[in-house]
Amino acid sequence: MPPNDRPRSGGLYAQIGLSQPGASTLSTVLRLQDVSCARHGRTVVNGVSLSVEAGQVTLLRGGRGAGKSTLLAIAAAVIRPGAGRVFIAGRDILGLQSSSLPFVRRNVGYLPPEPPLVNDESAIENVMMALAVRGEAIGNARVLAMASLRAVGLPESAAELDVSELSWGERRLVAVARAMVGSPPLIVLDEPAAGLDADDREAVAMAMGVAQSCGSAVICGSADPSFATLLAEAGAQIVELEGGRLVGGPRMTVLRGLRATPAPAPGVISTVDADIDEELDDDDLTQEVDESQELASESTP
Amino acid sequence: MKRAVKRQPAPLLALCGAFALLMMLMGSARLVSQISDSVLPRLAENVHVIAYLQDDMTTDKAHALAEIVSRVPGVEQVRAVGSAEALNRLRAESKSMGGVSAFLSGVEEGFLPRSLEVKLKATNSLSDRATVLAARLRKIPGIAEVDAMEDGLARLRSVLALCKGLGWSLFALALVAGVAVLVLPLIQGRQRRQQEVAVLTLLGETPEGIRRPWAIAGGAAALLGTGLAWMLLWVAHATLSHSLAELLGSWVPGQLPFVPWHEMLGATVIAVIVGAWVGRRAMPSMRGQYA
Repeated sequence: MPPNDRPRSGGLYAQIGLSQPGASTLSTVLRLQDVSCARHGRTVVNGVSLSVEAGQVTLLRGGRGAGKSTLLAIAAAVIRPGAGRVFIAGRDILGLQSSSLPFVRRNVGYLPPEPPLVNDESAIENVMMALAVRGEAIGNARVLAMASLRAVGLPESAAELDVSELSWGERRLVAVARAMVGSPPLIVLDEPAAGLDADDREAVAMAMGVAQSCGSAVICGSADPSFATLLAEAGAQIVELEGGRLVGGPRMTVLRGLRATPAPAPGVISTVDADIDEELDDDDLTQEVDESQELASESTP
Repeated sequence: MKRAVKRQPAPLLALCGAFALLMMLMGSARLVSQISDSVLPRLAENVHVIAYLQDDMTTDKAHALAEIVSRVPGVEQVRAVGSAEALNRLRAESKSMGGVSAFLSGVEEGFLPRSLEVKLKATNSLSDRATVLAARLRKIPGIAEVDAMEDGLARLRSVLALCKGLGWSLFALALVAGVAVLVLPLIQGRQRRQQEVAVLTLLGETPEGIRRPWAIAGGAAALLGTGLAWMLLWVAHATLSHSLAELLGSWVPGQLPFVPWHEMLGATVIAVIVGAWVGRRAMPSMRGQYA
């Protein structure tokens, strides 16, 4: 599948001085510094520090109530943390006026736990909306949207159907495609493989790889072990979250490079050491969905 | 805006129709008012009360009486008409009807009584004041008979009352239509618009960017509806002018006036502003996610 090789003309990349995708100098697109967040009186995220750089895929793993969805929502500038700082392309998001946040969100492809779609518009039109907001011309937007839908494995025949006529899994693919269309500088995906069959999971993983090769920084939360395996095999960095904290290491954990880097810092689970075969039972997955739904109901307008 | 129109044509059509109805009703009320205003001045040109003097009233007394009546509030003009002048008028009018002047050739000059012709100032209570003045004149010695043209004035009074009632009814209907203009588009398709707002907010559209297309679409719908209303009113006015002139006779000027152009323009501008506001309000408010 051909990658989205549209040259990046500005936006977030211009801010961080990255002129072309795949530049040799890696730059930090997302940096969370000691962020904490409480919901309904319970600390969900506690002192997490995390950096994700351009051209990398990071997988956030964790069991029930680990705080993955909340952390991803903070990374996508959708909810405000109770403490700490959030930097996107070097800009402190918490210091921005609320009128500036839409312009930040345009450069973040976010897949929330329950992604909203416009039911009486077609799949391709839903994907094109992301490009229309960024000012893309209709003709080019249509081409990019179709490419993104193909990349995630949605059949072309389904692209022109109204979303209300699609299955749950197909709607999920549309939402994933919309988050990744045009390879925005930062892509935040919450359970992108939820409810998908093996072929679709593989297609989504490949699409994430394509976005990575275009220079996007991708951070993804998933409780699905098979999906985690796919990502790990593709070279993703894996970060473990438990009880709202990063597991096993100092709070400031910097993830560097791909396979050509030295041994990972203490506390970071490498692709060799990760216990990817750990099984999560159905109750764990249900708890993940419940947490995601709670987050969705609080953050959507 | 194209997406807004393409995806939700029903609320915009409803808005357009509501504005058309509202403007037609308000324009009709204004037209009725215009016609009433044009009829009254014509009515003022006529004589409203004629007081016929007794034969034994002297000329000096007649002039004195005319002077007194002219000072009555609401009286615009009083004119004393002699017997000879009255006969000449009658001959002239009968000549215009054809064939009756021969009948008048044998009438003596002093046959017709002298009279005082009273013209009242043109107001809405013209017929009532004519009746009151006539009753007062009848009590004055030396006046044999008073004609207040009650039949004609009564007819006019009923027509004007009808116009007034029609105007109020149209105004009330216009108020109802106005409420429909505001409420209907806000209700229709709200759920679908809520979905769209949620998606666009997630994708990074600004609140203004979300509402602007709908404001433009609402203003355009109002402009279209208003233009349609003026066009229909113009056609109705042209069609009904002739019938109305026949009904009201000489009380109606040659050409019934339409709504003044500056009022049409002002109403259109206000309609466009209201339409744009309704369009903006049609988009559900977005709670700040980063509050």
